[in-house]
Amino acid sequence: MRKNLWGLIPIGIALLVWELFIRLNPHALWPGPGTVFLTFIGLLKSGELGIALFKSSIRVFLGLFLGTSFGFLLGLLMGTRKSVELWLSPLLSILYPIPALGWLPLLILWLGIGEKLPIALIFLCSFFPVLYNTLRGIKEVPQELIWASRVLGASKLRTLLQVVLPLALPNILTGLRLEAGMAWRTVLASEMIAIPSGIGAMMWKAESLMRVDVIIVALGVLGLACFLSERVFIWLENRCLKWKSSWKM
Amino acid sequence: MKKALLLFMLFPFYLWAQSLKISVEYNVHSLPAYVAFKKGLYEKNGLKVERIDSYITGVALVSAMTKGDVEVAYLCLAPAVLAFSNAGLKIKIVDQTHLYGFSVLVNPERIKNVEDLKREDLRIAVLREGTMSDLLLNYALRKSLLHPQVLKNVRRMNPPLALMALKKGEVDLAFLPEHWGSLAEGWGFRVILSAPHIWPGMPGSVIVVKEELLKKEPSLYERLKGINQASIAFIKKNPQESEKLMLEALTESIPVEVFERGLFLPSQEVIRRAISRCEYREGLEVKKVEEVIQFMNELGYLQKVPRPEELLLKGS
Repeated sequence: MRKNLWGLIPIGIALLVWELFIRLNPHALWPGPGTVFLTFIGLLKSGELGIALFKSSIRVFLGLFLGTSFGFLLGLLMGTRKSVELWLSPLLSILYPIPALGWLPLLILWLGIGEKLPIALIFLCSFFPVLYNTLRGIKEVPQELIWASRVLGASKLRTLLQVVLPLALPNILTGLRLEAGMAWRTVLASEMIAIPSGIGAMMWKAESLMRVDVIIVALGVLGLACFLSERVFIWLENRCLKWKSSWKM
Repeated sequence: MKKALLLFMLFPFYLWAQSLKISVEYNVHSLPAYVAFKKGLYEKNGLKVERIDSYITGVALVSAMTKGDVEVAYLCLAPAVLAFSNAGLKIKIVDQTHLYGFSVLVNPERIKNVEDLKREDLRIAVLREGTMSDLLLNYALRKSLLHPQVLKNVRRMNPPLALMALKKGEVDLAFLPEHWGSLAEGWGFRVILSAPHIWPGMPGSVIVVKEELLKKEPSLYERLKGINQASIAFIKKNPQESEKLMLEALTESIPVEVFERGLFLPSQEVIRRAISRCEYREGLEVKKVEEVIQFMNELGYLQKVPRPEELLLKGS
């Protein structure tokens, strides 16, 4: 608890420096923390912020869910079937390094401007990392453990479910945790460019209307959303991997 | 004291010595500025103007103004209000340059008549929030010329991108400033409504000056007003020459956003049609400024609601 309180001090100092700077250089395009806070309350009361956040969250959730599911399934298939891995690896190695936003022009033409676009982008953003982390996780499972499980009479499915997957889980969850923040960044960019709703669209509109206070509120909310998403996955990691602390090979 | 007196006496020459930074929107709304520039009206009135910069939209122009790149702007009323209210830019409106100058452009295969505009599934391209095109769209919604749910299908983009979106079939209609509507008529699209049909008396562009410049040289206000009157009189008296001047200006000074010059260059016929959709007229009414401020406030666009008198100089 005390550790957490220490972390609040730099935030307090940053706010103080911000306020001092604004007081010394007053300008409508540089709102102070007080103005930003009042705007935040106003946006919250009007429901504008809640609706925008809800819409972005749905997109992030759907995109992450689909990307994670497909990435996990294909990673599993590649990790357990050598032929599939050999067959798909070259193609995926070429596609993996392409940043999710690099697909945007192509997706605009293929899917058009609409609700499918941000979901597809987040799908791409999470699919490849989850796939690779699943594959790596499975590959890193010591072969001796798999042999031992099979020698002791476990079926292939049981070995997969009770030996391989639990041991691959840390890698999968780490990939997911890192991609959750990335998904928010991706949804923001796609909403700015293509979709007239959500946090990104709210920021884009505020830029057009020169409402710097609204932009700062949206940035703060985005930062918080990324932070909370990451926290959820850390919590999930801690819960799912409790066994790991007492387990030694 | 003597020094101050000398400076005061020499001050009008300041305007000669330093070139005035004038900027306009890249469309036919800027005609009075170009007429004044090309016919030497600025020089005749003691103002040194070396060139006129053009920006793709009024909002882009206002952004440049906040950075200090522009001193005098010919731009639509709504971005001027935004600059004052939200960006805290200390500006004054000198005069109006025209009314109207906006069109609703449709794909005739998707929209045959005005009644078709009420369909919920229509996809609309419009300039970004806070532009007069955006206000016109909202006005059309208020007058129930469009389906209320159509807002979810609105895409924000600049005029060249809106024309490309129409061409590719990504949108069915667009709210655009002129000459863009008239230009696309040549591509097979149709101007189904013009600003007067939607918003009678819709204010168009105004001349805006930075307050600090007016404080340094108060006569600038009268000079710019006089130049505007002379420009508008010229446009009315010499329509063909004005068309040529406008065509020349739109060909010479092209903003970077106009990504394919060949495709977007207008002909004189296009300019003629576009100019006919603007009503060049000086003399801004206070109640019109008030109406726009109130409308923008109702749309939630304004951080603080200014009184029209704060924006206008006495007698504008």
